[in-house]
Amino acid sequence: MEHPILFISIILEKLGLPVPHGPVGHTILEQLCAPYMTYTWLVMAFLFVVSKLTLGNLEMIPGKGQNFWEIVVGGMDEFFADNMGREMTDKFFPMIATFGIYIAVANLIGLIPGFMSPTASINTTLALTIIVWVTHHVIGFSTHGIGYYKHFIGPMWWLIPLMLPIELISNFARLLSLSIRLFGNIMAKETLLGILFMLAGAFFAPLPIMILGVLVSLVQAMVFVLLTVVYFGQAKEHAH
Amino acid sequence: MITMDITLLIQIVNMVILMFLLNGVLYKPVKKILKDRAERQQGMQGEIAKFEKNARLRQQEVDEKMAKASGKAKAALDSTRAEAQAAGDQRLGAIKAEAEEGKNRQLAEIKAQIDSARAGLKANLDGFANDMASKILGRSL
Repeated sequence: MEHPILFISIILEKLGLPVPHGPVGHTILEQLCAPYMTYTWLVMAFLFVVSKLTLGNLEMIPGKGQNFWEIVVGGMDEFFADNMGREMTDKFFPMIATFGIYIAVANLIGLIPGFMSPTASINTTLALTIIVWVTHHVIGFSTHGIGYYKHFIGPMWWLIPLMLPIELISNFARLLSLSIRLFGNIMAKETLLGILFMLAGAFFAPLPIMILGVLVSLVQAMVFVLLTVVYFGQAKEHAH
Repeated sequence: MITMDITLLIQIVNMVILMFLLNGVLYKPVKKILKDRAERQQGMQGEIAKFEKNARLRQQEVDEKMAKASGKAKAALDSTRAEAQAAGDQRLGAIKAEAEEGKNRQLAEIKAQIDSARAGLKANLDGFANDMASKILGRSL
């Protein structure tokens, strides 16, 4: 289920570009013009432009925009440092903070009629998840070397036959849980909003779901960031 | 709806690009200003500590000077009081001596007068007795 009206798709259609009408595009160009792609670029441009505009003139005594970003960036920095340590935070802050801010904005943008959440596509959420999953293994191997395998064999050697499959499955399940949780929540929100808009949009039927949508959007962004921090922290820790 | 295609890779690239973009325009500047502010506050804390130490030293100095001045004033007061006491004692002694001398002189004078009066009375005693006996007897002796 898609939004009844998506502004960017309408503009692209007017420009003569092939916007897919189903969930999937068939040609490369159709896939690039898919709403979740175009709205991803919109969110990217929005974040870049807003950051540039609000942080054009940094001052020791901050204005409103600078104050907002200082609270967001400072708060995340402190939270990451508390959970992963200062060294890891300095290294991975741009990645995790970008995910947090991008997911929050991408989730929230879908609440505006005519816009869509890019995170309502599995391609977007899986892309984020793959980066996190690969990075946490890179952290593990770079910290422990080949000894990183100890994270997967359990506390005693005779438990290896039991623990190794469980640990491997649970590790690969992170790929699914991170991506499908975010995708499922946001797609459900988008679908529900789309249906309510079509059925009784004029009677403000989607309003309660939109209020819940704000909560879900922020909570999902927070959950993704929290789990990312936990995975990174675990990869850095010694195996039990 | 759950379909994966080439856009998965493009989204990965998008995210990497966004990381670099936001790192450049958002995280680095904000972190830098936060760090600068923290350093400045640290510096101000150092300055405050320096000022507090200076104030403490100045107070100590003032207290020492006050104690010294107070001691000096006390010593001056004590010496002046002792001098005044000595001068007072001396003057009092002189007055006492003078008074004693005056008293002794007057006593001597009175004694002399008593003696002279007594001598005079003694000299007139016989005549006085005759006069009394004549008056009692009613005839001269």
